[in-house]
Amino acid sequence: MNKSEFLYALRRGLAQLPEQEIEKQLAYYSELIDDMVEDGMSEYEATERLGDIDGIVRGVLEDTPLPLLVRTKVKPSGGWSTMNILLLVLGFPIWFPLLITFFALFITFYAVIWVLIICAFIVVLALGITAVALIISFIICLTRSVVSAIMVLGSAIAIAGITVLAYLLAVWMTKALIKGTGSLARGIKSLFIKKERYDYE
Amino acid sequence: MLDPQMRRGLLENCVLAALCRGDSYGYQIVKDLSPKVKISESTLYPILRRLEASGALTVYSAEHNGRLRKIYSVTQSGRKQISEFIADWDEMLEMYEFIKGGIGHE
Repeated sequence: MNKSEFLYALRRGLAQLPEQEIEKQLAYYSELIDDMVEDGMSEYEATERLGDIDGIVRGVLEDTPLPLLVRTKVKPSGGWSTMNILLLVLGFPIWFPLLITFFALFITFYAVIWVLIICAFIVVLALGITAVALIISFIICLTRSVVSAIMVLGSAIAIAGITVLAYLLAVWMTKALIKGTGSLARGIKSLFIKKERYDYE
Repeated sequence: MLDPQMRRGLLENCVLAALCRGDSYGYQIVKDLSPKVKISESTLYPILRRLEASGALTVYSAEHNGRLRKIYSVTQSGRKQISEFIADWDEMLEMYEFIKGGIGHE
């Protein structure tokens, strides 16, 4: 496509963002295309090289901080007319409690998972202490009956082994949750990206 | 595969280093980096903006063939960022040499 088609498609893709942001992005790409044309490329070659609009738009929106995305997604197209504001205010007793409930549930659910992980580590600690206690017991037992001592030692080693496994499991759970939080954050962000269909040749 | 966070940090320093050689503009920066560093025009812009926000570079407009070009210039803070990066990596390089030397002995 040529330069103006490219810029138009880019503007449509970024329509959700504040005008100042859009202008900055367009200025950057406009300058790029001009420089490439000066370098000898045609406008078509330049836009080819810049890549597909979808990719650029996605990159820009993903890089945009969440609060800005939320603000601009929630904003009704056409702006805040009196009617829109009136509906918003009248509907307040309905959407506000729902919003609060949703947030509360979400935070609770997330907190529960972290608590489970903390419990896992507490279990590891308990197992570890048991293993140590059994080893001390083994030493004491040696002075009385070697046979009983060996049995105690056996249990100590078994518990120690389980402690290590439980620890590895707890660490794995922690890593999984941290990774999962990242994906969750990205997922939430994409909720606020307005999906505009931008048609271009 | 290079960790994306690490890659971003590396690219930032590459851009700053390119500007140390002289003030430059978007397209020129991509051209200067291209033989050695894989970076697209779309990847460059967010990096430039982040560096500007952190004070590592400044922007000014210059006239060129009847249009305005945005020219980027590295700041003292930006140069400091590069020297800190190099110091970190000198240390990393020593460890790398040690690790590489270790593989030879089987």
